[in-house]
Amino acid sequence: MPPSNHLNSGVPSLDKVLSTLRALAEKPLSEATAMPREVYLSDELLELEKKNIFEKEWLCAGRTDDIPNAGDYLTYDIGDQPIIVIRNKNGSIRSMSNVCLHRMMKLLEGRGNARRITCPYHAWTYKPDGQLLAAPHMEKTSCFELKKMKLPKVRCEIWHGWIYVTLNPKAVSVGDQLKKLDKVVGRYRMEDYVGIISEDVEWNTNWKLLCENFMEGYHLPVAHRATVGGFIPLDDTKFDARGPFDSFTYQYFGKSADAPVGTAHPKNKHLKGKHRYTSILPTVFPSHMYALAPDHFWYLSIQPNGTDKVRIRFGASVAPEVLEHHLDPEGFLRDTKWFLSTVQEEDRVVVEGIFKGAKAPLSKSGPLSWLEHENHEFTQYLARRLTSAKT
Amino acid sequence: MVATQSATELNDLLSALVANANKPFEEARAMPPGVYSSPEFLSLEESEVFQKEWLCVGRAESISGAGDYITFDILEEPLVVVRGDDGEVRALSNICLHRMSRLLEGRGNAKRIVCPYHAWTYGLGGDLIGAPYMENSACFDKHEYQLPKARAQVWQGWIFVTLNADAPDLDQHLAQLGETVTNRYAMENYVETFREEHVWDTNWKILAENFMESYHLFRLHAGTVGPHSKVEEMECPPGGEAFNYHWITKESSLALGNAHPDNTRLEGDWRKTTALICAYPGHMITLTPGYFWYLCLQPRGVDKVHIIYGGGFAPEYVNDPNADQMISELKALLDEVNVEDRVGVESVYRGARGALASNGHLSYLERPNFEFGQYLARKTCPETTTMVNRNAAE
Repeated sequence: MPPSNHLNSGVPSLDKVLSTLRALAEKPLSEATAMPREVYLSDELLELEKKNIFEKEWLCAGRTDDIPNAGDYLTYDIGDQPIIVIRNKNGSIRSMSNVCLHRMMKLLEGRGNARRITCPYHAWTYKPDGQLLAAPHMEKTSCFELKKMKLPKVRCEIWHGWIYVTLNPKAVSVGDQLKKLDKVVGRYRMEDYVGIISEDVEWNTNWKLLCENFMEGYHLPVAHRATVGGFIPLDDTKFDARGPFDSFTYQYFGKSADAPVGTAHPKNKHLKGKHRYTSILPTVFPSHMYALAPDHFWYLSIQPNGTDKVRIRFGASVAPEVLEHHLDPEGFLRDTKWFLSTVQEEDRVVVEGIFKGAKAPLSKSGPLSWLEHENHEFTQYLARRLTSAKT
Repeated sequence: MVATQSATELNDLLSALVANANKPFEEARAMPPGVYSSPEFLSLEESEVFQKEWLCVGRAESISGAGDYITFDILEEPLVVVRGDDGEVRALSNICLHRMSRLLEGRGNAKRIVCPYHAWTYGLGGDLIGAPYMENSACFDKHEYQLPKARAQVWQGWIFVTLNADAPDLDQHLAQLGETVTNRYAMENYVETFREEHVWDTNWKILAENFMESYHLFRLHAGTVGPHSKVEEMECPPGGEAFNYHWITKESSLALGNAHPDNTRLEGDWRKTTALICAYPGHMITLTPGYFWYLCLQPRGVDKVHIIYGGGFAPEYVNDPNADQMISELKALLDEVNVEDRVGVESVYRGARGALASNGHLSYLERPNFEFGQYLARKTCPETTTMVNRNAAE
């Protein structure tokens, strides 16, 4: 039974929502509209999204340089499942359930370094590979065997510095899914970028509205006129003619040569020609998106928390030469953090505003611009995942 | 289709609960994760447990004067427990008979119960004694109006209420708890000094179970009471059909924890023994020779628990010149311990929701938790649990 929700008054049945979505996905971009409001409001659709998408797909938990040393860990939730991502002594990264095998306490919170994982409740203690090592006062429990207890493993793969995790044992590997994106992002060498920000926040909007906001540069000159909007010649936006792809979409966009950020540093010798002032905007479906520039990237990894709330892990990294050769790296970091938080705040205002708009019964979604190419591919992705495997 | 699927899931969950309850304690596990997150299981708890059992409201001496009252909701049913002019404690419906406003909020003293909406006025027994501007309503006769009553009884100083007309009297229901554990303390003479209400983000059973075992003290409470606790001091004997408990015997780190010199009832080790009691479903008492503190729990959805949190002295301390100082020290320590417990139980709730979460084996220090699982199995599927150990203490 889906939870009752006052937002659902006037929302069509799930079958109706899905058939509308399917019909929209079949249209060419030149005839397409944005997704209808009920897609953002339906509790039933959310349940299907959780089942067909968030329990099945690879989700981004962070960056490998968030946990550079043996024993460094970060925590992340896939839906309701808390997980740990930890670096082993041999340098490899593994992921497992973050729930104690005794009374189901969450083991670790946030980030840190642990040689052993000790439950804060009754001190059951695990090795970094999840094997139970000690459980005090269990000697009188006859069926209990320490050796048999191991935290369930969660699939975890690394791709260009990104940590992807999934609860789906059958998911095709990240490398295979993103093969056609590999060359495109490869030239930036983003695996060497150095993390400067990583935070978790929650906003009051539907998860898809935030995704869609990140997928197009169309709003930049308006919503972000005070920050990043001024230096982006939208006519330079380009899309990959090989698309649409099953697992991702992306676009190229240019930066004017006088932009303060977003172009290659003089010490960057690997990017040539137009690539020195070209950025790309990949969306790895369902919800890992980043703006990758020659000198930095910032990213979002998004999950729904109800139809009306979104959980966001966001971060930013800079190319190593930018930090190495900066005269005032601390000042630079401070300014960059301030700048990105300002951009984020501009986005929050917009996407929370759209959600309020979508709730209004008189709202109607309008036609898309050619600049909203990724948005239409997102609609098509959702139609594929939600209408084909419907159970 | 969705409903059928839920029904199957609920049946599987109940089978797992019953199977675990039927095991010998030495082989038992914690309850299956679904009991903490399933809305269907919660509905069953509401109808089979909270609508039927005696629920503790608080202490009788905290409403010692005529007109003293405490409001208390059984799930969504608002009640007010009030002491009448005749000294009797009654539980009345806290809903006006006119347009259904809640009558009283919180706690206090009232000579008459006056509805805040249109001033319909009731006596302390629930009889309507005044209703302004009703003289033109032809069929209205105030003598026909009486606030409905719930059953209310007092046992060893505790006020209990129930919506169940068939529930056995408390003296009978809790007789075994008295004989086994509490009679020796003369709990009816203890005096409450504080009472608060809270709501935490966890399932009610996770907080109840946290209270039932002292296994976690050394770890979760490492910053407060943990260093003073040793497992050798803990003993977990079998409980009864209506309760579970465990003992801790040691010199208290607080003066208040031991029997007062004027206490001549308790002898030997009893002068330094604490009983930790759960009167099912959710009345938890820490009873020491010198003080007590308690929780009364009710679910508010699967993910929230409503908590009444109170405590006070053994009677010998009431006239002690240092009593105020001692009780404020105790309260400060309990508040700190509660902060640690809150972090713990809210975290267990998030853990239990994970698809990969599983229920592990219980330690010998968690016998009360095992019996709590048996109790819930008996209540939620009475037909299939005839085998569940009903009288563990016998």
